[in-house]
Amino acid sequence: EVFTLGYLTASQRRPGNLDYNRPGLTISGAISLAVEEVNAGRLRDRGHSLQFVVAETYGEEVVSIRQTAALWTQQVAAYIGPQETCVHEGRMAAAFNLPMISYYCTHRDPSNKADFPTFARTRPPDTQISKSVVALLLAFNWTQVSFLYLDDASGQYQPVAETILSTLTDAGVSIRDIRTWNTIYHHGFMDNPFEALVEQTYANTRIYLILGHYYEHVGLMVSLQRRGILSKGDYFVVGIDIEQYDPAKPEKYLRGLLLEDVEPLAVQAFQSYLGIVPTASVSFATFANEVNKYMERPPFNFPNPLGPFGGVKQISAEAAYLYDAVHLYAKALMEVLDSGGRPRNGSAIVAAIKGSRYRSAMGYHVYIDENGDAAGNYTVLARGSVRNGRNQTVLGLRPVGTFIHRNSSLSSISKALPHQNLKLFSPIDWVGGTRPAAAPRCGFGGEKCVNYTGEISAAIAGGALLLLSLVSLVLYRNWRYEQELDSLLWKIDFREVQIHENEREQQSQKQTRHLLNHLPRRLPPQSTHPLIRTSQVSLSSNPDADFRYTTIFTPIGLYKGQLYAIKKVRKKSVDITREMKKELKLLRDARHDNICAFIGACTDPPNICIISEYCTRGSLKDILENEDVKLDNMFIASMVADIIRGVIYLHDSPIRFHGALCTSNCLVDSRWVVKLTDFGLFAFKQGIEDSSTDMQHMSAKCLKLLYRAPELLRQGPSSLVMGTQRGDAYSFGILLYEMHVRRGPFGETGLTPMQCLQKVLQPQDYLNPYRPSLQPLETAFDCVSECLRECWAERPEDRPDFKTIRTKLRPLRKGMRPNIFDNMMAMMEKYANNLEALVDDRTDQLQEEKKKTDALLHEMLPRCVADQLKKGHKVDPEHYEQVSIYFSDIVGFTAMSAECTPLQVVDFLNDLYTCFDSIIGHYDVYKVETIGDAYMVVSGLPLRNGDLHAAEIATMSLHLLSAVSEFKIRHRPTNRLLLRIGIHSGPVCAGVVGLKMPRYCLFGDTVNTASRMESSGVPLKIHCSWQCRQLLDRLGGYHFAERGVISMKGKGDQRTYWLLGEDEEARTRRTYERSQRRGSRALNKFIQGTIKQAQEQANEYGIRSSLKQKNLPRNSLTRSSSLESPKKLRFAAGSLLEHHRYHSDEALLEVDSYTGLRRSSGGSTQSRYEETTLSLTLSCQSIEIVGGQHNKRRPSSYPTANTPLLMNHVEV
Amino acid sequence: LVHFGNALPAISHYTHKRFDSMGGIDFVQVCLNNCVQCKTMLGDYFQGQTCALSCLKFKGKAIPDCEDIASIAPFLNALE
Repeated sequence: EVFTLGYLTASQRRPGNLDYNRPGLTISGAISLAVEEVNAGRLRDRGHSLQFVVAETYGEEVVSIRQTAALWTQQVAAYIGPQETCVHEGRMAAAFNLPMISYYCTHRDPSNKADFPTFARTRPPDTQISKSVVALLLAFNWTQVSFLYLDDASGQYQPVAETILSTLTDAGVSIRDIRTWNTIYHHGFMDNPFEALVEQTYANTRIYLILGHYYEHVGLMVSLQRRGILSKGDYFVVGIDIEQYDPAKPEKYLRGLLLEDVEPLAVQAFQSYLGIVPTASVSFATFANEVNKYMERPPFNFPNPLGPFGGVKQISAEAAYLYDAVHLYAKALMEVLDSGGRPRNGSAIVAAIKGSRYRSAMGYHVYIDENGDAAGNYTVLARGSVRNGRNQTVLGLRPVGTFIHRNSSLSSISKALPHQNLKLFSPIDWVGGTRPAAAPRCGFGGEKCVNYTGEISAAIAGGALLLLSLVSLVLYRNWRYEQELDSLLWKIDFREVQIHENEREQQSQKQTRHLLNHLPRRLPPQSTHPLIRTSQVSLSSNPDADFRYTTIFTPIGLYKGQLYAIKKVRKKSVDITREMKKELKLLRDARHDNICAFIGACTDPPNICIISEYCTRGSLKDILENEDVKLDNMFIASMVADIIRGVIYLHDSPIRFHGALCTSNCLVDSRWVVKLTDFGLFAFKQGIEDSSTDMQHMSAKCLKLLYRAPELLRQGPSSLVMGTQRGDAYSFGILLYEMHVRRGPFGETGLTPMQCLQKVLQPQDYLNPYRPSLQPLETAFDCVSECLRECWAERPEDRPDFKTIRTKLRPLRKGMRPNIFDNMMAMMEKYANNLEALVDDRTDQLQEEKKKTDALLHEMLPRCVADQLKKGHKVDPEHYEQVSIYFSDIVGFTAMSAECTPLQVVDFLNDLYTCFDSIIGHYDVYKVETIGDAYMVVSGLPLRNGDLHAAEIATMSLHLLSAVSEFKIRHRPTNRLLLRIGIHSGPVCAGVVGLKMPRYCLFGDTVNTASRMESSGVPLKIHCSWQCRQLLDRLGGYHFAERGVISMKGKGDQRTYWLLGEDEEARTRRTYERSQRRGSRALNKFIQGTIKQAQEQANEYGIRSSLKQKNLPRNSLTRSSSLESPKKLRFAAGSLLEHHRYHSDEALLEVDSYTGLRRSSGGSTQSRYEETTLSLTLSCQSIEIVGGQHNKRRPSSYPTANTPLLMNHVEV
Repeated sequence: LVHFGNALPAISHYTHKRFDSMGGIDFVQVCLNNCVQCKTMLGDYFQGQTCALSCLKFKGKAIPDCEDIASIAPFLNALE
């Protein structure tokens, strides 16, 4: 039976197509050769043969599909082909159930046997080389690449590109860029498209994949090299081609195909290149020659252009694939025939093909996998020296590796394609010596370094720096510590301390007195507490005693300009050990308010001593023994707090404990702050000589040991046994007890210190060890007793620590400040506040009293005059052009007085004048004075009222006369009082003269005339002068009777009148007008009062300033001083009153003389002189009268009930 | 249908790029492509560089055909 093969080929160009490459021209001879060999082989033995029919496709898919259908109609047994395209042809073969064995197609889709059950191929599909590419990239960890491939009209590389992209994605390789070029590039003869592609991608990639003809790759390499980015080895190119490697011409890969020479730029660039190409054929020459022969024979008859030259065409690898396809079909056909199957069953034929292994015309064995695909072999190429076909060593691309298939067992169930691993058999000469990375270390945008690398580096550097710093610091501190120990900063040269015997005494005395002189001046302003003052006074008054204390207990010396305490250490020598250095350094570094600062030490014998801060008040022991220093609870609490704070500091410091806490080791400075001393220096004090054996010294030593805890005493001598914190608690208990009792550490025991010590060391009952009696503390705080019991516990662990002690003794300091001076300041503030309140209260009282005194003064003097006097100013006399004066007298008063008791006379006058005062309060008049039974009133001063003064006096006179008519004498009701009145108008001067006993007096002839009018009148009549008459007539409303001409002493003949009465109408009108005037004054008064009240309210609500408070007392004192004399006068004894009367008379004479002199200076005439003399005479007469009627005058000096009325009068 | 749908763009693309004679054909490109084909087929006997230079010189108007000895004769030479 003859089996016809349909050969799908493209060996011709369709008209108009000028550049189709016609693969059939170089491979078709292979099918003729194969068919002939098969027909001559085992197939003939079976009686079968093969023949083939040529179907031209022109390289077009449509034609290829059509030819596939046509061949089917020709009843072909199998297809050999198709060529470029095969997807649709393969589906048709499946439909026809005809085997289709392609020698050219590389598309990946026909590998799917579900859709292409009758398809097989002898050329490896694209997936094969894709696997190799992935294997190489993963081997070098190049997981970020950019992909460039040729996408031209032929579409030859596009399916391969798609397969590669898909495979890369599946393998996890990131594709950063995909770029294509659209025409075959011929290097050297056209523009380089890779220039633009590199420009677009080089910043975003390091690894390039390029798929295209090998001779196009040189364009990319030259472009990269020309840009200069290959020199450092950062960039790399992986080139992929589907054309087999040509070992005969390795140099051709470094140049364009159409160029004859290799350019140096390309040679350099290809160091950054690896190629992946199909493996070269082996022993291909013989096969090629046979193919050439058969191509010239029918049915092809292809000419050989090189015939005249003796050459032949170059046969491509596809000829071998075509040859293999025929042989593979024949082999499968025979298997099917032998197995009894139908030879035209395509599925059976392909099933027989799958899994077969055969020797390919390529020269090596090929395996067909379960997908009907031939396994591929690929070679890795790299630049290097290699021998070419002419046996010349040239620089070109040479094989450096291959790929090994994994999981290639036939029994594998997995459908996954075999994976490949790169196997290099020659090292790669990397540019720069190291393999390039797929991406820059910092990322393409540098973000990794900014976000992570930088921070990590900084952290590592910072950590290292910190560690280095710490180590350096520790080392430095250790070095520094040793340096400080060795530097002996505490060491003092004794020669720098000024303590000569005589000089010491002088300096001590001088400094001590200097301090004492300063302290009183400084402390009193800050503190006025009596105890402090007493202490200061005590210290000041006993400077010798204080000096004695200083001398005995605290030797002092000058060091660097300051006064320090110097304590001798009785040692022959000092061996300065490291332990001692540490001790001294600890002490020198100890600084606290309640710690006596250690300044230094002298270690040069025989002046071994310790120098420390000097506390001027000595030790607490000194203070407790000084009964002149009074310590109240506040002082004790403050000192206890200081001690506790100091001990807590020591316990918390490296010193750890005090060890010798007692009252003599608690020093008190000038500010009454307690400072602890004599702690530490255990090593320094070891070896102190103590050879004294006298009883006094032993007693003192035992006394000091009483402060030491019992367990420490039992352990051994104090110089050998170090103290403990619990031991300090015991010592504090003893100290606290002594501060309250002030009778030594154990109080009044009646025992010697030695005996007490023995009882402490050997208690009779351990449950009740020997301790000071708490009986004297009955008046102290309960917390003190409780604390003492706990501190005195026999077992150290039962004693409280000092923070607990501080808490227990907190009630002592209730309401106190941490510092004693702060307490004093608080007390001063409290006192000041109380004083301010007290001063405010007293000031208010003073204001009230001032009002009273002002009122009283205003009753005695006119307001304006009183104000002037209060200010300490002189009251100048004031002239009034015209005033009206009223004088009245009681006729028969002298006789009546002789018949009555003095008390009756006083009562009579008091009753009468009280009546008068109540009347004159209704008028605008001023009561000048009363002289015995004489009553004097004036109008028109001190406030002027025009001519109204005459009317005021006249109406008032009528009023008084009317009242007298109804007046009853208390002790003589039946007697009628006869009042004689005289009024006159004229000019006067008024004022206060002299300094003692200020009186407001009237001066002038008008006064005398008015007096004469009264004395020359008759009882129950108002004697009026003609001057007054004129004024009254002008005013109108008054009735007169002429008395006629009378002779007046000193005045001659005067015409006078009797004022008989006043018209009712006129009286009513004047009364109304008077009330109106008084109303106006009252309104003004009210307004002034309101303003004053508002001011007072403002003062009350506002904050009172200290200056104001300071000023008030002074003003008050001033007022008190000014008020002192009247008080004395008011309450003076009779003898003093007599003295005052005499003094007053003398002043009055002086006043008159002064008045006379002033008048003389006005150019007085003889008559004026006489008038002056007459005035003096009149005054003398008055005095004589007063002198003669001693009993009558005295009552007027006493306070009377006129005060309210006088006030009203003044107000009016 | 899917496969036919996939084929359609290829055909259209193919036709447009290759057989649209009304469009501008880069004859130099075509000429150079033929030089490469002849170089591949004929190996060292064919002087590709000379062929390429000729393409540039004559602007692709003289396109060599590897089957037409007359058109490639100027670029053939005997091996040394």
